Amino acid sequence: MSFIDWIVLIGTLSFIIIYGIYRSRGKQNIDDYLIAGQSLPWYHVCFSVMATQASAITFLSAPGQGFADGMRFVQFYFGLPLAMVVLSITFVPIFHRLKVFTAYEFLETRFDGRVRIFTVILFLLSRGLSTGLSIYAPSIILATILGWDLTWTNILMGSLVLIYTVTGGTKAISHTHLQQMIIVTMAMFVAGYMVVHLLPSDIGFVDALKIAGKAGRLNTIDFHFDPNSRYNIWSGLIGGFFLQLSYFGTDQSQVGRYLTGESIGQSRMGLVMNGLLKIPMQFLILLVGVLVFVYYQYNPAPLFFNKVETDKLRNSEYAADYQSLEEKHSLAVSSQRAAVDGLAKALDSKDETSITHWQEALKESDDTQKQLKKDAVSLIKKNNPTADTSDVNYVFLRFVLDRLPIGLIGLLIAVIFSASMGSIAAAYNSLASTTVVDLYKRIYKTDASDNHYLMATRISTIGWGIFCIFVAQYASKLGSMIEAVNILGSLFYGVILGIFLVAFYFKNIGGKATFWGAIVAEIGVVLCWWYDLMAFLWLNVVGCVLVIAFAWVIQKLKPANA
Amino acid sequence: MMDSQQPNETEGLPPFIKSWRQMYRIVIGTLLVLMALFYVMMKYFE
Repeated sequence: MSFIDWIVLIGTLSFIIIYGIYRSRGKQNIDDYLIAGQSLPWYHVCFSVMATQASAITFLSAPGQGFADGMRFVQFYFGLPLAMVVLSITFVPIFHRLKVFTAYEFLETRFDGRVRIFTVILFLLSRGLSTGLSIYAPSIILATILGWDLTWTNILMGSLVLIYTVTGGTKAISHTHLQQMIIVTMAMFVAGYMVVHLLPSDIGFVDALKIAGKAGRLNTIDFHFDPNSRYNIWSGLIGGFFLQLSYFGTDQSQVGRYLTGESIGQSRMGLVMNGLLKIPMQFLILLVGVLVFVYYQYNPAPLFFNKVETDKLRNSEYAADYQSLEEKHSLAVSSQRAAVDGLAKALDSKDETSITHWQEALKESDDTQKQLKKDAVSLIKKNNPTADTSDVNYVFLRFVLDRLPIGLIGLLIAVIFSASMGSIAAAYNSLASTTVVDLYKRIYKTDASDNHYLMATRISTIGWGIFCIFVAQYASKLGSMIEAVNILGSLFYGVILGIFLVAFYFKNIGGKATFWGAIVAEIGVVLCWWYDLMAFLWLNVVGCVLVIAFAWVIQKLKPANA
Repeated sequence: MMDSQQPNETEGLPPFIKSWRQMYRIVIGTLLVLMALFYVMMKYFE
């Protein structure tokens, strides 16, 4: 990065941190610190919810996904607006009226202390570990591609947010979320414009879309029901609905955002606006990736975007094999260029026979390049079994560093940091507030002063920050454990959602039945995973259904005691 | 599922929307429109 890029990066991040501290200055009580005194308007709620969900990986991985796989990932978000409606009708009024700080307080009101503590432990376990990975995932990419030290990148990524999260609490987080979303949105629009600008002069935006469409990259809707296909309209609407309902309704990192609304109406409006804006936003991010794909139809793309791994390969015993793959790749790139030029001319002349011919040629070249990439990945794995071979994460950042002008590179690196800070800040805040409100205050120190709990939450925030950075430092040494931690989330999420759904919709089921139902369901989910009975995403649905079923059966069998 | 707020409560809504029920219809309607637009775009450029 150039000096100017460093200035832009440091300037943008400093602005966010100073702004966060400035907006939350003055004396605070625990209400202000945990839920911003329930004083924020809907647009703060909306952008805070969006910034919490959009991690750095959203802006690194999603364009890469658009590049490699097209637009179909957008379907994953189709269930979100429906979940926002259900949340607004059910969860928001209840949480507001009970004046809770955390979602889990409601469980004690509805059931008993045991259900609350059980759910809190599940949440702290999964959120604490996944936040560590949220720090590690962008850090490893930035460290790899920019040549930074991974340990210091992890520390920087995890500790910058602590500055304003500890001092300003939720108010600082919400105000910085708004700034972060404005910066991120502007930068992505500029990046999209720059990609189109870098295309040959006779290729405009619509021409680029036509080429992307003919190359199968505008595959936004897939009506075929296939349980093995991760992204189609049905998995998006049904699976996505359950996932988003679980995430927004039971994860304190999101509940804590919409509890900041100054009224039920403002919280609701924030959520429904998120339901309106999220899909177009994700569509635009993916579209940037698709435009990058079109750019690389006219310009040679590297065989593999993670340059550090390919450099290692060139200096290894597999150098000759890799060179042979690169030669084949050059030939495929030449035929791709001929195909895309032919296709553009055929589209201009509207010659259908010619369009079909060049479309097939382009597809053939695309398939050849995909196969060559697979062969390169095999070589990289042989050379370095712990190498990061998920090339999609590196596509957009490589494009930014190689092709965008000075200044914009710094801004886009700042965007990655900003996005990361937004989600990490909300996670720290939720972990600390849950620890203090649901464990410390509930079990250990029940009658301390407001200031005492405020200080305890600040200390807890620092403690969780250190824990998450620690997890991030060790994530690289965990190897396949990274996937195990992702599975860990699925092991718990469904059960937590099941407990909340029983609380809301099954008024005749009591605390004891729900507690034992949840324990048995959790064992059931662990057994399903242990015996590898299904893909781990389905564990969310199974956990949820099992809690409801077991709690209902236990209630029926022992109505007096349950 | 019942809306737990009073039916006449419109706090938080933009002035041109009369009830939360109408707002939710707009959200679901927008989702349907987006899916239709995506489909049309996919077919047009295919």
